[in-house]
Formats: sequence, structure tokens, C-alpha cells
Amino acid sequence: MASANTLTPSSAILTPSSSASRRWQIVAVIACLLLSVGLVYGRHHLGTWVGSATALILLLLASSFWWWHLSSRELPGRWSVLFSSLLAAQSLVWLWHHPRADVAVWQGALGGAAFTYAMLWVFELHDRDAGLRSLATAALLLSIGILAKPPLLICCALLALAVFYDDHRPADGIVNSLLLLLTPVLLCTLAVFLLRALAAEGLVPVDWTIGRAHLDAAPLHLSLLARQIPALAFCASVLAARWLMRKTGSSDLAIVIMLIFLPTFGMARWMPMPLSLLDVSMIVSWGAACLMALDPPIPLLPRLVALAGACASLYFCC
Amino acid sequence: MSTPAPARISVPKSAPQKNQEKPQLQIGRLLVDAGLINERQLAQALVSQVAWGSRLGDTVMGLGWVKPLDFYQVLARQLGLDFINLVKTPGDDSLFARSEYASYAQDLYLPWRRENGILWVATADPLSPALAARWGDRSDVRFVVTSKFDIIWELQRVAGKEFSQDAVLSLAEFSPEHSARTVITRAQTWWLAGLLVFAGISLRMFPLPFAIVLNTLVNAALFFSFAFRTLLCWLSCEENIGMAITPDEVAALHDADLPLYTVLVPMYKEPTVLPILVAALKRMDYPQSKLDIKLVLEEDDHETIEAAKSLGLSANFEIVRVPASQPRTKPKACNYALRLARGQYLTIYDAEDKPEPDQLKKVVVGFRKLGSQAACIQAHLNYFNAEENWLTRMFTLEYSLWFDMFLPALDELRVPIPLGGTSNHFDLAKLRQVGAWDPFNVTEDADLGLRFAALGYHVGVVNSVTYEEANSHLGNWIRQRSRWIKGYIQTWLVNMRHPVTLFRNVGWRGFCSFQLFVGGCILSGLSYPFLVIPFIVWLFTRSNMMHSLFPAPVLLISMANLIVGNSCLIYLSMLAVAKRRFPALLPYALTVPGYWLLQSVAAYKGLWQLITKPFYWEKTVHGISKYTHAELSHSDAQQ
Repeated sequence: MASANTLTPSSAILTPSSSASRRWQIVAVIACLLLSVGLVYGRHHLGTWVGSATALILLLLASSFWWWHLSSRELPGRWSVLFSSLLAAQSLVWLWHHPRADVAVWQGALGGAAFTYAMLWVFELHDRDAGLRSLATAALLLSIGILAKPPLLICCALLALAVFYDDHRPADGIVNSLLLLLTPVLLCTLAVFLLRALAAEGLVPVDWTIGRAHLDAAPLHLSLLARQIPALAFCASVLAARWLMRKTGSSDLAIVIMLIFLPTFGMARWMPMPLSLLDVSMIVSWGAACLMALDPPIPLLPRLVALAGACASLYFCC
Repeated sequence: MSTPAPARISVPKSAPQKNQEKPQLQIGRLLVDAGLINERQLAQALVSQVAWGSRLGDTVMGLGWVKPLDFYQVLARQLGLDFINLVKTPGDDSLFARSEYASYAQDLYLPWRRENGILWVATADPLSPALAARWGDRSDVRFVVTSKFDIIWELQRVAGKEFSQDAVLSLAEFSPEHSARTVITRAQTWWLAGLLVFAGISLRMFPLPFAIVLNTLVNAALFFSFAFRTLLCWLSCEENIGMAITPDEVAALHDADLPLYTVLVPMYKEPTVLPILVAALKRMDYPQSKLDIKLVLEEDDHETIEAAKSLGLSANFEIVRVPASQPRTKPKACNYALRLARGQYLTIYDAEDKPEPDQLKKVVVGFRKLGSQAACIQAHLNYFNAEENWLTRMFTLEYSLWFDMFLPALDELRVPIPLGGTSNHFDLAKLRQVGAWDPFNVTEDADLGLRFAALGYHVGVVNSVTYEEANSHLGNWIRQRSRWIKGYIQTWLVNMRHPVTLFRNVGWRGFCSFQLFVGGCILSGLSYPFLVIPFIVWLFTRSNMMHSLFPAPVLLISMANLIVGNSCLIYLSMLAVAKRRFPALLPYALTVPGYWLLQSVAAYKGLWQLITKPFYWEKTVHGISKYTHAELSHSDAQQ
């Protein structure tokens, strides 16, 4: 039959779509294996399935987002996978170095890291286009930032003031500039107090209110800086890579200031809800990740510098 | 009948050539000889005529140098025709053909009388190519010249009642599904009744769970509505969002290529602000000879008619008298005037409007940019008396938010745009095609924007501002706002008669945006007191009664929405005035929650009126601002 000769079994031809789908299947199987191992390992260290599963899912989401962000900025796919895997591995090791911490601590650390990532992104956005949108985004982010710990929020608010103040002061005046930037965070703070008042009256269950302090605050000591070496290695390499590419801007300066501010004031015992070492490490490394995603090191030398930093971080962590 | 003896002329079969020197100089010379203009004015008019691409007659009349009556007499003399005054010697009504009313208005001619087998046609434009095409080869037709105002007058005398009837009923009869004449359809009544019965039974049997579910649903809807508005604002924080026409693009336009533009100004009992409006329209950067401005006045509004007459307006201003009939609404008046509109584009301004001078040109560029699917372009609105009192400041905050943030973002998302009250510029043919304004809808503009979207047309937003007078009196504000909210409810009900059809026509994005934006406006206005009152009662009484009336989850949901919603409104208003560069108004944004309480008062008044007087037009009084009074005094002093 003539028609039969022209027929080809569909399974005999590997079309691009089926090859891509097979590749995804392999990735999915490997991811599932790693997750299972991670889950069992986490269960062993933490003694809870829920805690380790939550941490893994959060990390997976964060790493996937970073991988997407890197890929969308024209960094070759394999490099994006490599970098995101290294950062995910490093964060995972950090988390499991804190066996006594409960889930809330992990979530707090990851939340702080996400907040820092977003703020640095906005600072970079402002460098590119100093319009109203970057200011509005920063103000709205700061209002969400009340969920983060006060030292981080204060640090980011001060940085935002420094970055945005000069742009809007001539046109809007000092008070108006402050209103534009700080109104959402002030309103949210007011809302928190209101909810606390309601809780005090018994109208709202206490669990619904925000701001439970239970952290492993460490004493203020210079040796803390040394304990951050894993995060610092990656951050320093990203800053160096950006300097090599002549891409340094407000975001780079912001992360340097955070590096100084957070360990010295953020971890002080007198600070309400001080930061933990885990918090600072996550903030610094995910802040560096943001810088890298904003302008990925496309030339080989900066890319190798960043890779060396990521590898060194993972090594120090382990 | 004392019929003049008009000569027969050979009507040109083709359009007269542009800049045809001879006849222009002749009419110009005749005007000078008649002492109507001087030599210098003639020279200037000839320059303007070439630049504007208009005829000399239109140019000198547009500049206000020659009265129409005088000009048409000179024109008749030039062409060897007789001039007749249709007001004094009206025509034979039986010669009018209803099917040709549009042509009469567009091409400015009328069948006047028939005598001895000869049809006498009165025209204000004997050299019109349309006239040549219609009557050119008829040997039994003769022409007389008349003024274009006489044509409009006579047309209204003969066809006024039909125009008025069409203005009221054409949409309701030809497209009843788009008309708000039926406030709520039978199917909607059944739905509403079913919901009320269900609510009644639930409230009786499970009062607390019902209260919780209802509160949760309302609050969820409000939350999404606030979130959508925040998204719109965030998008609009981008400086160049929407259609930004640059001064270079405007400068690149040639006046000679600009089309005839109709400007409708519906007014009712507003004689005081008329001089301000006329001055603003004369300031427009658009060839005056290409403006077809119609002051749309109610027949019984003698005060404003007399005020308009006393201003000695140039020939591009016409007074259209709308016969008294119900419903007495602005859209009905506009529909009536639409029958007499001649432009390629049409816009509406309110009596107190001050459009930016280059607005019409920007719109022309905008239409050319948007292409054939564009049916309407909305200009931004804002207020010139923002600093007058708290209410005007709040109103300015709100308008900045609406026109500078929401509408450009809706345009960017390509979803239906509820048009604002004035400064919406239409492609006249498309406006007629969709049935124009719904005279039974008291926010006819918002309804029209949604109808355009449902019929597949595009509505854009242009970066030009019209400054209006913000309501400075609370009573006046409530009247205006209650009408708006009533109109929004009408619009929502009309569009939700067939939700599936709406979904198919505007897509899921358009459908959701309609629900969140138009529906959200209604819901937030009506539900705001229910969010605020429990909180205020608790704050001042710390009453234990709250525990039983508002269980913790219900209270918490309401409270969270109240706080988040108000915070959103405050901050979005701040962003809007920051974008508009009104920094002085920034701190006033903190008082937005108080303004929203007033909004709720108006919302309930609007809802009540929808039930009792659905088509009643709550008139907004204009010209009460101290800024307007100061401007009027200033212009009086100058005169």
C-alpha cells in the first residue's frame, strides 16, 4: 500500500518537543531524588518532616526563581543552572547547620533574604529609570517589609531614603518626599498596632497578630563577621565581577552598607528582634544573587570570578 | 407667494480646486467693496485661507470678521443668485425627505419650494461637490443662497420633533439590549429575588455563618478590587504609559490637512460661564474655519440662549435648541445635536471646561496612530480650582487618580475604559454606528466606552488635559456623585444582562476588569459604611456587644480590608498627585477615608434614586467657584 509506506510510527522519530519533554522528565526525576534525599536528611537533623519539607520547598522556589531571573537576562542556560544549584546547596547547608531552629526561623531568614533581593532590585531599577515607579515599588515593598525583622527594615528604609530622596526633594519638598516613600510602611505599622490593640481587647486571636520574637540572637562581636565568610566570599566575588564589567551602582553600595550595618547593629541584643547569623548570611548571599541576576556576568572572566566565589562559599559552608 | 426670481446656475460637477485664485479674490474683493473687511484683513485672510486649506468665506467668518448674514448675501451676489432668509420666508415642509435629513445637515442645503415644476433648493454652499453630485444634472432644479444658520434653523423647525424622538428612542428601539430604558430585566429581577429569598432564609436559619460568609464574599471582592487598582497605579507610575503625543508630532501636522471638528457643548441654565468657555474655544490651536461648535441648549433655557446671542459669536458657533421632552438628560441633548454634526471627529466639552489648546490636534494625531479600530480618544481631566477648599482638593486627588493613573493603565491593558464626562473625542461615523449615547443612562459616557469595547472598537487615552471646575459645595457634590454612582449601577446592570456574551466580546481580561473597576466602584461605595461603622463603634464604646454581633473572624476580615483598603487609597492618591506634580496636595491624601464616607452617602442616594427616579438627571451647578467668579470679573474689567 502506497499510503502505508509513507506512514512512520510516531515513536520512531524523536521530535524536538519529545526530546525536550524527555529532558524535563530526567530533570524531574533527579530533582525528586534530591528532594527525597534532602527530606530524609532534613528529617534526621530536625526531627520533623513538616519543617524539612517546608524548607526544601521554599528553597526550591527561591532557586527556581533565581534560575529564571538569570536565564531571562541572557546568561547561558547551563551557567544559570550551575549558579542556582550552588546557591541552593549553600542555603540548604546553612539551614541544616541550625538543627534546633524551628520552621519560623527558616521562614524568617528566607523572607528577609527575599525582601533584600526585591529591595536591591528596586535600587537597580531606580538607577536605570529614576521615575515614580521605582519609588512606588520601594514604598510598597517597605510596607511588606514590616513582616521582616526591624533591623533589616530600618536598614532598607534608610537606604531607600538615601537613594530616592534627592530625586524627589526638589519637586515635592522634604515632607512630601518622606510621605511618598514612607506612607505605606507607616500605615502598615499603624495597622499592626491596631491589630495588637484588638488582640488586647480580646476581639482578635493573639495568633493573628504580627511580631512574635523568638530568635537565637547572638552577642555583638567582631568574630561574627568571620563566621560570615561563606556568604562574604560569594558576595565579594559578585561585587568584583560587577566591578570588572563596570556595572557598579546604588545596589552595590547598598549591599556594602548592609554588610556593615546588619552585623554591627542588627545582631545587637538591645535591638528589638535582633538578626541571627543565619539571617545575615542569607541576606548577604541572596542580596549578592540579586546583583548577579540584574547584570549577569556575560564575559568569561567575571563569570569565572563569580563561579569561584560561589564554589568557595559552598566549601566554607560545608 | 412672493418668490424672488433666482437665476439658474450651472453647478460644478467636480469639487472646486483648492486655492483657486480667481473666485477667492473675487469674493474677497466683493467683501472689501461691501466694507465688511479692509485690505489688510483680506491679505491676512488669504494667508490664513492657504494655511488652513479652507475657503475664504469660512476663513473670514471663522475669524469673526464678517457676520454670516452679510457674507452669504455677498456670496449670492458673486454667484448671481438670490439670497433668502429662511426665518422670514420658510420653505415647504412637504418637500423634506426624512431619509435625507443627514445630507441636509452635512451638506447645508434644503429643498425650499416647488413652483411651476421647478424645485428651488436653498443652500449655504452653492459650490459644494455634494450638491453637484445630487442635483448637478437636473434641469428642473434652481438654487438660492441662504445662511447656514437658516438651514439649521429650518431643519430644526421641520424635523425637530423627529430629531428629538430619535435622540430619545433610537438606541432603545434598535438595540434595546444596550439601552438602560429597562432598568432591570425580567431575568435579572428573578436572580435578585432568588438571592434575596436565599439570603432571608439563610439569615433566619443560620444567622452567624451567613453573616460570616456574606462578609467574607464582600470583603474578598473589595480586596481584589483594591488590588486591581493598585496594579493599575503601579503600571501608570511609568512616565510614558499610554498614548503620548509629542509636541513635535503636533507641529508636524499641516493645518490644511486637518479635518472638520465638531465640538458639542451641552449646557443648561449656565449663562455665567459662557464667556469663559467661548474664550477657551477661541484659544484652541486649530483652524477656526474647521471648527463646528454647537452650543446645545434647551429650548426653554431662554437665559442661556440670550446670553449666547449677546456674545456676538463668530460663525463657527451655532446655537442648537433642543425641544423639551423626557428624559431631560445631557445624552439626549447630545444625541439631538449629533443629527446636525458635520465634522469627521466630534468632542464634548462642559460649559466650564478649559481644554489645553493643542488637544484637538493631539487627538487627530492619536486617531491616525491608533488606526481604523479607534473609535474614541479620552483626554485627561483635572481641575483649575484645586486649592479652593478641602472638597476641591479631594476631588482633584480623585480625578488625578482616575485620569492620570487608572485610565492610561486600562488603555495599556487593552480592557474596556469607562469614558469620563467630557473631553471624549469620537470618530463621528463610529459614534453613529454604535447608536451614540444612551439618553436613559445618567453616566452615558462610561456606558459608551464599554459599548465600544464590546463591539470590538478601541478607546485610547491621550496626554492632553482639560481643566474643569471642581465642585466646591457639598450639596452640589453629592448631587453630582449620586448621579455618577446611579449611572454606574445602570451601566453594570445593562452590561450584565448577558454576562456570557459580555465575556465573549471583551475577553476574560476585559470582563474581570469591568467587574473589578465598575463593579468595585459600586461595591466599595455601598459597603464602606459597613467596614467603618463597626470599627468606630468599638473604638468609642469598647462595647462587648461587638463580640456577639461581629465574631472575631468577621471583625478581623472587615478590619483588615478597612485598613488595607484605606491605606491603598491614601497611597495611590499620593502617587497620582505626585505624577500630576501637585505636591501641595500630597498631605491631603491622608484624609481620603473621610472623602470615602461622603462617597457612600452619595452611593446610597444614587441607589435610592435608581429605584425611585432612574432617569432623573441631577444637575450639577457650574460657575460657583470663586476662581470662576474672579475670572469673569477680570474679563468684564478688560472689556
